[in-house]
Amino acid sequence: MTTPDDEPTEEELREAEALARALERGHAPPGTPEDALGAAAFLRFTKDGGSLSAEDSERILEDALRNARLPVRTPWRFRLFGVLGLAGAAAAVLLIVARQAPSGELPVPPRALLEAQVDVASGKVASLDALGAETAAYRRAVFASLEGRYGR
Amino acid sequence: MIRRAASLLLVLATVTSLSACARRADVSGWLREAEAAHADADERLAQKDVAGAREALRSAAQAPVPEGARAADARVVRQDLYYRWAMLEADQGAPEEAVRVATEGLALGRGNDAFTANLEIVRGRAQESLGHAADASRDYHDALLVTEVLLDESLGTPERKP
Repeated sequence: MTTPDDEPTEEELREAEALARALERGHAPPGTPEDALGAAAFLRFTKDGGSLSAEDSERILEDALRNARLPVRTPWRFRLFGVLGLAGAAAAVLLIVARQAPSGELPVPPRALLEAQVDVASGKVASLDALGAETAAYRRAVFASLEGRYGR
Repeated sequence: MIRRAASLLLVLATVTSLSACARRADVSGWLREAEAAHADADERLAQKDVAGAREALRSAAQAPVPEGARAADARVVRQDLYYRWAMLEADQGAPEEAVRVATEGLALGRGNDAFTANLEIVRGRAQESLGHAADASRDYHDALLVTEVLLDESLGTPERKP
């Protein structure tokens, strides 16, 4: 601690310089004492009510514009890859859906059923019992095939 | 934009896949009901419950077909039910009703398969008992044409055990 008559120390000079910069420019270098910054802010506020001057506003705007990043334009190659990728994905979806669609033929009817049909239709046999029995057997095969196709 | 489109595609794929699964489940349930109707009719006929058997076959034959079923698959399943229903009417001494039921079944479409042939045979038999010789002959002839195709295929293909 020094008395007002003493020569200012180096530290006091540094603090005074930082305070002067804070008053002049509105910002201070790192390491400026908190109480000095508080005093600078108080002085600035009493001077202009804390409002920005037109020059300061202009300077801040220019600084912001200078540092603002321009929107990155995606190169056309990347866009093409994206579109091709989406088209591929869409094709894959269609393929999956198409594969899920049931398809296939019914089981081949047993010869005994066909012979029973020929026998009745040609008048060779009067009874429909054999036709009924052979159809019942084939029916089981058809249902097994269809349930396999559509999933249980 | 591409990221948004990819997300949309993913959602679309998921919805489509779930929808396809749901449709298949509907068809599977419908097939089980059709198969159960045959078993129910067998049981009721064994108990001399003709009306119950008729109702089981009728309701299954006329039940709406789920959206996911192929038209050809739906047709054969329904025509088989109509065939049994028409047979039941013929066995009960009601050939006119047998003709009506078989005609309703054939109206679903014709294919070169055993089920279309069966319907033509049972209708021919009913026409025969009604004294409609020409109609009976036409039905038997149509059935034989289908059976001929099936026999050709059967002879050209090793027979698969049901």
